[in-house]
Amino acid sequence: MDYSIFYRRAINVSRIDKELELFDMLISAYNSSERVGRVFSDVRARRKIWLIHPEYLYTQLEAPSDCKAVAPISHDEVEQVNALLLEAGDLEGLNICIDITGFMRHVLVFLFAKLAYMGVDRVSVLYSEPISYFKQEATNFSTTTSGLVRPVRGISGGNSTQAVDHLIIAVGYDHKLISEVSNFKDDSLVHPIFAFPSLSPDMYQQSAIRAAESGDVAMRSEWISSRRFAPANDPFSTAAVVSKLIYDIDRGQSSANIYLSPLSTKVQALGFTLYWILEGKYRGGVTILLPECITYSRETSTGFKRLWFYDVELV
Amino acid sequence: MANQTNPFALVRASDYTDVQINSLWVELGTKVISALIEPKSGMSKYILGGKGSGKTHILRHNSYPVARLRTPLATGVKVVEQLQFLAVFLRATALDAARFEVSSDSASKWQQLFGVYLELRLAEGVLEALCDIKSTSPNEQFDDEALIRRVAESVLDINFSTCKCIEEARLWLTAERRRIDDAINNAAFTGTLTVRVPFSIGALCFPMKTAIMDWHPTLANIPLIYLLDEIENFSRSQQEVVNSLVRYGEGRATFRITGRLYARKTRATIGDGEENREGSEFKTVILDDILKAYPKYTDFAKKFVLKRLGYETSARTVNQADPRSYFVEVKSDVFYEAAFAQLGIDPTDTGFIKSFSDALKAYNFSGANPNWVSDVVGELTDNLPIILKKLNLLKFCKTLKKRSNPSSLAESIRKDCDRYLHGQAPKGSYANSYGHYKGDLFAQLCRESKKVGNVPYAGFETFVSMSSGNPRNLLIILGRAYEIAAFRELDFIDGNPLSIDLQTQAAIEAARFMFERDTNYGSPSDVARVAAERLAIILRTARYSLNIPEVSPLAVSFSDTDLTNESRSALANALNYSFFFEINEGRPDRNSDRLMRKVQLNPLLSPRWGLPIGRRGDLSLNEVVVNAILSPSAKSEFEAVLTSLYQRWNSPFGNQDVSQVQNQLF
Repeated sequence: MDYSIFYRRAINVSRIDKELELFDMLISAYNSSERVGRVFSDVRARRKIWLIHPEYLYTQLEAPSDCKAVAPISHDEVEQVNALLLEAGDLEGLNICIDITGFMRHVLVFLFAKLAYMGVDRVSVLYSEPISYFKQEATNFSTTTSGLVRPVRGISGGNSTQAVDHLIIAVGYDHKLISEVSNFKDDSLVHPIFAFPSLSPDMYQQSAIRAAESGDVAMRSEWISSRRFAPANDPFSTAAVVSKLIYDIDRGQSSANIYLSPLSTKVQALGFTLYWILEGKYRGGVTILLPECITYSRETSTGFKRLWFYDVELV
Repeated sequence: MANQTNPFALVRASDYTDVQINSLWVELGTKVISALIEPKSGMSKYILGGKGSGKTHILRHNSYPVARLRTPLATGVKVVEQLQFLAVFLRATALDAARFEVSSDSASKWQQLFGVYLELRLAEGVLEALCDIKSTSPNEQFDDEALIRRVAESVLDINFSTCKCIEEARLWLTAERRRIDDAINNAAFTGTLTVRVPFSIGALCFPMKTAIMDWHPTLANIPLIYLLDEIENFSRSQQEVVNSLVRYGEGRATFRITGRLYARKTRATIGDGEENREGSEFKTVILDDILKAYPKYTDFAKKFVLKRLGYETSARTVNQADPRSYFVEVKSDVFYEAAFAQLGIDPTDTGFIKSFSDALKAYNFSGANPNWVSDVVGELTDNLPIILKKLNLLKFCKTLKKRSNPSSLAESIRKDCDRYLHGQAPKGSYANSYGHYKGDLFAQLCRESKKVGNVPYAGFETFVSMSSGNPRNLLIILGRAYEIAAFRELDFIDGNPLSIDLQTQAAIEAARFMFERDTNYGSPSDVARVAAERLAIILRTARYSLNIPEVSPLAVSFSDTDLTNESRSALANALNYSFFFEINEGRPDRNSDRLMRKVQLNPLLSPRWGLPIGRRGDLSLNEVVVNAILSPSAKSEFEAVLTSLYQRWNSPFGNQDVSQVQNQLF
């Protein structure tokens, strides 16, 4: 798969309404970041829907009242996505735009897998970059996890009981999540993918500092020797890096079990998902694995540096 | 050394290849392992223990693929004949069992499907072993059809019963497993689980035993054992499936199941069936307890280290062959005189005397001369080694009662001290006090020293002791020591021994690693971490107080009935993640018959708070204090308790208002 043919461009943050076309529907996950709110208000769309993840713990009073909001109670991605799609209605022929900035990772992954399953062939995707994270390398994103690490629903399966498991982690700031996933799959060979180039030059350093706190996984030789890089803000390059990595694994050993754990930016989570939709599903033995978050920080960043537009084709 | 790979890098059993399992396994002794696994026993067994206690090692060591590598030239039949059992290994995480927990659908349907999937995986392991036995035993006759016929009596699928050989049967198992994988994936998108299961729970992995008997006569009396690793990764309903297999497998196939201490979430069987009982359906062994009580652990640790260094049989020098020579030790003889010089502690720096004097002024000594405080202090401390000055002050704090005469008490203590100092009373009360408290007093002096600051943790045997019978803990400390030395281009293995200062740094780093980085399992471990930190702070407050309430404070005791549900759960988590160790099973309180529990902080964590690595007594905690420590929501209660305890332990001569509060606490 040649991911370089996919189209992306940066949008001037002060000209969002002019540079982006009018969409039939805009879907965004609500949180308290300035950039999420600004994109939602500036993008032109005939319908706008907020998805309010239960992980953010917003009360009814805190929820936005300017537009239709879907507020599922369950943390399960199937139920969250079903609630969202029920509200969205028939998507056939619609020009849909999804701002992935505030999405919970497991819901983001399943949403795109489900859209592909439903036959939606194209989605416009937006991602807004912050200027910085509140506490730099000390920023906490997921505030509580249940301790359960599990495959995203619908995206799992092993090849062979004898085969070696390979765990491909997109490395972000959440060292505790890295630690949880690698503890869960501690019999696997780990392949860290660092977000580089990062959203801003200092963020690579910050994520490397945080990732070094991830326990014994960060002390293994493969943490250095198997390290790969993918741009933090490009889902297509990320998918290409994952694709190449799995190609290399398959050359050495057929029918390896692959576990993908996108723990960095939402853009990279989308990249991992794209790989699964376009290639991994057909390869077999590819699982997307995430720690189950119970709560998540509502606001982790300051400012609005850049907006990215991705033209995502799902077939 | 700087350019070499760290020989003490953490390697988990699950990381090892099957060959490495055999070659790197430092034998606890075949008898010990055999006693743990009990392969001949017809009863299933749980082997529970903390991280790094060797659970996975022991299971994999006994699994057929690893065992057969120990005699690579033997035929498969011969290998099993020698072993006298056939065991297959499965890690719980390999099932990604959370896929079978779907809240929006019928729970029993998913539970059944999980059971079938688990059996498919176990049976795949058996057939993989059988295929290997067959392919490596060319002169033997195997009746594949008989095996398939036997299993087909309970597996109702034409595609299975028409298999011609075990290789085809194995492919059938894989295909069935993938069919279930696909059905589970599809259910997420369609909302409906559509899958036909070819057998009911128990109808595959148990008949496999009788089928093997039909397959080859040599295997007729060989026990079939399923080795299931990390059971904590199964949910309650999934453990009900395992419990049912354990219950109904007796006589056909048995299980050896490993997990964390609190890995078992239920003893119930499927469909609210009867609960399995210890001793009837299963046995339990706690690996941590066995390792901690293992009398030759120090020897084991030495061999383990030498094996890591590759010096087990090839040490070139005496130093290389003895890990004790890699580390400078703290010299405690002659009242730590040499240690103070080693560490640069000024023995004339006696700032602690002022704190004592200030506290003593609160004592109501009517009729005394105006200088009685300085007289008492002089009596207790003049012209003595610094550590005895401290001991005398401590003994004074502990002995002074209301209405007793401070001056005569000081004289009496000084008299005992002088006799001990001059070798006239090498045994007795004063000598005992010194033996008990010297570690704590030395720690206080180190902490009060402007130069040192940290309490030293040094010496191979100190590290062995801190590892509490767990080789992984030893590796964590040694790995840090190696890294710190390599960074400074020091070679403490072949060159000069590592300094106390750098060893202490390594111990602190190791504690930090274990506490912050190595134990991230979501909110249960977060709760455990809060409890551990609070307990450690209480213990630190005790150890560095004027009137140390307990020798080497590392353990606490409390009544089990005093625990709230929240506290009990936090305690289980802290034990599960090895922040705490339970010292013994509950013992009844002599006065009330209440179940008393005793726990200690993991000594690997001690350097983080300057705590001792060995325990003597235990601090007795009442209901208020124990729940303030353990309950994660009791933050403000904990702060109040801490303040009270601090005042109590540092105001031994009467701070009236505070003592009233403290009396309520204890």
